[in-house]
Amino acid sequence: MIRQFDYLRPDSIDAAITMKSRHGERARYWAGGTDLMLQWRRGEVMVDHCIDLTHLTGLDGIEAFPGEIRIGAMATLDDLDRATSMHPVMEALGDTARLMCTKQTRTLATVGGNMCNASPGADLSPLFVALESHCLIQGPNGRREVSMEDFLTGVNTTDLGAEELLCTIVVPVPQARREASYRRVARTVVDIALVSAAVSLTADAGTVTDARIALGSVAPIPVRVTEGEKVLAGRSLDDIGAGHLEEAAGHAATVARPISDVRAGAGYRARMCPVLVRRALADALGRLGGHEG
Amino acid sequence: MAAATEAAGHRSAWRVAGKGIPVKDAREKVTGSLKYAVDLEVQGMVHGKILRSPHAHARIISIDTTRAEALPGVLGVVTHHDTPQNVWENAWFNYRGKILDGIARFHGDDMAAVAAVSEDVAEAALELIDVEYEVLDAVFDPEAAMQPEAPQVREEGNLRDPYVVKWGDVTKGAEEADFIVETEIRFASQQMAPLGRNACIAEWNGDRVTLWTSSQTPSELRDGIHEAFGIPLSRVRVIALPSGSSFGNWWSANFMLITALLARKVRKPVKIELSNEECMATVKRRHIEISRGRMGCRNDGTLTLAEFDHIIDNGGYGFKDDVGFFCVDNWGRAEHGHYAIHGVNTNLLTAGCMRAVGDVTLGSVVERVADMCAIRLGMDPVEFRLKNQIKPGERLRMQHSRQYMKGSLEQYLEGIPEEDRQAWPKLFHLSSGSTDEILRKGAEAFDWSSKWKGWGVPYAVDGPRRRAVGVGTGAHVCGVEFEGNVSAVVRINPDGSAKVHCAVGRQGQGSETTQAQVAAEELGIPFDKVEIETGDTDSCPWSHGSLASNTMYRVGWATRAAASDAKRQLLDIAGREFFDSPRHELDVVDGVICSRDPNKRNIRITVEEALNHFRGTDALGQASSITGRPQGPMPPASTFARHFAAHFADVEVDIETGEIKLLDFLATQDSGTIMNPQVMKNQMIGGAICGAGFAIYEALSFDDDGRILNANLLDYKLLRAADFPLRGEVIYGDSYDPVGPFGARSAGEAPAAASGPAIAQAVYNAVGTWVDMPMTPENVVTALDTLH
Ligand SMILES: Cc1cc2nc3c(=O)[nH]c(=O)nc-3n(C[C@H](O)[C@H](O)[C@H](O)COP(=O)(O)OP(=O)(O)OC[C@H]3O[C@@H](n4cnc5c(N)ncnc54)[C@H](O)[C@@H]3O)c2cc1C
Repeated sequence: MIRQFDYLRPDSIDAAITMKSRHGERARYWAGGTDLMLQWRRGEVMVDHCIDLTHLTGLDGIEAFPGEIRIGAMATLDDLDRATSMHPVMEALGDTARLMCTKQTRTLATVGGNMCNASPGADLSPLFVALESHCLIQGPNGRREVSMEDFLTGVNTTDLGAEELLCTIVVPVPQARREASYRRVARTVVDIALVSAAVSLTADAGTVTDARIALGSVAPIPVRVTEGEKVLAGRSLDDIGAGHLEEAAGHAATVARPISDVRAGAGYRARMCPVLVRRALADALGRLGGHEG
Repeated sequence: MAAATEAAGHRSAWRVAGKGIPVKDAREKVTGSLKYAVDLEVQGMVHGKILRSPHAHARIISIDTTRAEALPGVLGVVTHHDTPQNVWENAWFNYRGKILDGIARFHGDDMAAVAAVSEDVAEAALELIDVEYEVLDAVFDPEAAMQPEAPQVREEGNLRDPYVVKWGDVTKGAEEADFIVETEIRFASQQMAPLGRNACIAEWNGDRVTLWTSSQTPSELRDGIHEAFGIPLSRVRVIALPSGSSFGNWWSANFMLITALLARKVRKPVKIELSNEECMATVKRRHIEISRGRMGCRNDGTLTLAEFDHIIDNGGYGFKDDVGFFCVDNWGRAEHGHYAIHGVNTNLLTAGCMRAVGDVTLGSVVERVADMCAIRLGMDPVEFRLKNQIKPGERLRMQHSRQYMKGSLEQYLEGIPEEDRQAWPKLFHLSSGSTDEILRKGAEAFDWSSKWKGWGVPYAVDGPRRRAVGVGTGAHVCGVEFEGNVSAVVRINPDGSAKVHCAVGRQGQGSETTQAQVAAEELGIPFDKVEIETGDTDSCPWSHGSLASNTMYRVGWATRAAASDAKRQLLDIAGREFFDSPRHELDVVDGVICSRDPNKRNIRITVEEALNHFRGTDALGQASSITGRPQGPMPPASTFARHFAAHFADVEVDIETGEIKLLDFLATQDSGTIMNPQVMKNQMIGGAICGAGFAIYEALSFDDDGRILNANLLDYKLLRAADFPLRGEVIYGDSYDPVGPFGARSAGEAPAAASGPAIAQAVYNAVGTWVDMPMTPENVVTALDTLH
């Protein structure tokens, strides 16, 4: 039940942070509101002060810089969908955004909100992890950076301090070619992933220089499949055969720690991890020109 | 048949019937101005909230409302101590109970209620009601609940007497068979999952009460209030508003009676508005059903035997002993059969008739077992259906009126003059329509013969993806007469406009439009001069409302009969005053009365002129408006009328992940004349999606304490428009019903029954094994494991 609250509209990031500091626990940042509104109505969060971020400038752009792409926390999922031509990794992010919510919700839901809400089933988090992303955070004590892997700390919890604001998600784009892919199993067209896998493969001169695999919805936070990554790193693209993909994917089953809930059983989730990893790897490899893709 | 063909020939002359007229409330719906009960307020209204049981089975030992009543803003609290202890019922025992009796029969059951100046205060007051419960043993599994030592959910006991249909001799049927196949399926419970919420406002004026609520059954709610409060029907007025998607959820519900109870207590209008979760977890759901059955078949593909044993769980307050099950008739060509239905109570949310009750579940089992026969024979499933499904004129198998029913068929027939019965279709025989024509037409349009590659054989394989097609059929009744016949009133106003009064629901199925079409066609006046009242029980005669596919067939019959009666009176006046002719020489075309007599062709009198002329001289006011009503009884529809659907599905199954994608889907339907093809198409596709959702995803999930875990649309997965293939076309059979209005029969339920079997069969053909519903990715993968 939504009771009375104060609506605040800061005109700068600093002002937003000051408001949050002043009003404490029961002050909330409002980005797209697509998670917050539901939690608020259900009484899962109490809000006395709603700090509306939607009018702030400088938080909503998606911009390319040398060696990285900066995604403003207030960029919407729909913005992400429309930025796919910037770089191959943005294509994977755009493809993922299109799987999420509905068009109507995507025009409201923000990338930052998806991260800050920190649902284990959020679609973007495993992909950001696989893409080696990090977060730019601002708080009363200034700015800091934290890797996406460290930003997400548990079910609906992040590394953000009470007053801090997530400003930007930085996605590195190395000189070498990098391709990424995200695969998930969901039920209907609008659903939370039952289980998901994200990969990125970087290749230089025909050799995989970096491989990253992350699983979603099988633990409180995205799980890296480091043993699987090792199978591929250092291998030449031409060398990689179906057996390697299978082997790399096989490690996914051992690191996943899924639960059973109303959406799916743990056994099913665990079993899907290698399937999705294999498929995502094949996607990325195919785009890099590997023959098993 | 000849008469029907001749009648069908008139179709081309119709001006309103059979036309794809936009629904009457389209503009209001699109602009958001149509009022549902949640949108309504009345002056001086206060708000009610219901205290819900935290236990699946418990008895209140003590309840103390002092603290709640002391909360500022609280106007009153009701508990079982100040509730009349009369039993009220839904139609066909979909609900039977007292408004509040201090016993919780499911998790979330109604225990008490508060009225307060705001919803917030009412909600806060709920927490101040001190209740001490004696927690009782609960039973959730229908089979466990059937055991004599099981906890008893109701004082009448858990188990209803079995409802049995039998014919021939099953032993003989087994002997005559070359082979027998059998199976057992346990179904999950589907939720109506209405997209809109519901509310009820009740207001007492002295000892009379008025209720506003969204309902598909206005008359039933009036009856329920009368039963529960023990007041005359004449003191109860129900104004039923559109409900939007309902599928059986918005028959009368106990929260509506609680609203009336609270309003009586606090002497103010009270509104109770349910939350989404309450709509999904405290009203109704589809029964959990368990079915075992077998069929015997000869090597030439003739069925000899059908034997099914079926359990339905009624939850806390359902009291059903049967579920109609018109699939029995559809597959009733076997000479020997035995069907037994066992209704049983459990401590789960009350179950009630959801769209195509029984035919979605038992129907799926019958279709599955029939398919298993066809597999043994290697016979095409379309051909097998053509061979074994009922044709017009053949015997129906459902022959008995139901136990505990207020009226038996024998009583119904008593007193009906023999000459009236002469004109009726032969009872217990199918009067018209079947799957025959639509299976043939559908197979052709779907290109079945080139896509069907044999049983368990996909037509395409791409890595882990398998594509295949399937066909499924469904049938359902066209309304049921037990508990009361149907009526309607049609009034012609002095300005030549007309008003129809008939109690039907407005659940998105367009009945406000199609009933008006029936009246306009019969009266011969333009469609836009006909308006309709569907929800006010003070003006609409009794009807079952919109359930059991009652609306077009039975209410439509009454609407046409009422219009015909009004027209007869009009033509009597016109014949006497203007034409000097008997009425049978006259007709009304486009609002103008004219004569068939060539010599009187120049006399053209509008309806308005006719009534106004007479009005001035009619001292008794008899003709200032004309009121028509049916002059005879409707023949008992359940004994001869069915509607049929045949669906064709094209699916892709990913055998690694178990995901099912619907690639193409064709719905075909035999409902006699299609009163409005636009409205009909919506309903056919909606029905297909409802059945497909149940086939693939939809299932209520209960925890060990009987609590529903997914009473929300995030985790109760309804198919979205984008999950369902877009095919604009629905194919209709050309039959013409001998009783229904302008040859129309019912429509809404068979499609929900046909789509699941079509998809299940397509999945079988894709992967080579049956997958039980819901065919979630996980269940598909599990079923595939058993193959290897
Ligand atoms: C119909 C529907 C379908 C959905 N489908 C999907 C799906 O398929 N996949 C998926 O992953 N998600 C899905 N979601 C969830 C949701 O849309 C996303 O998580 C969304 O990206 C959240 O962003 P938001 O801007 O709406 O966040 P909000 O609701 O505004 O905020 C979420 C939380 O983050 C905090 N917050 C927001 N921005 C910041 C910031 N910059 N700094 C600090 N704190 C901040 C808020 O205070 C709040 O606690 C769906 C939601 C709906 C309603």
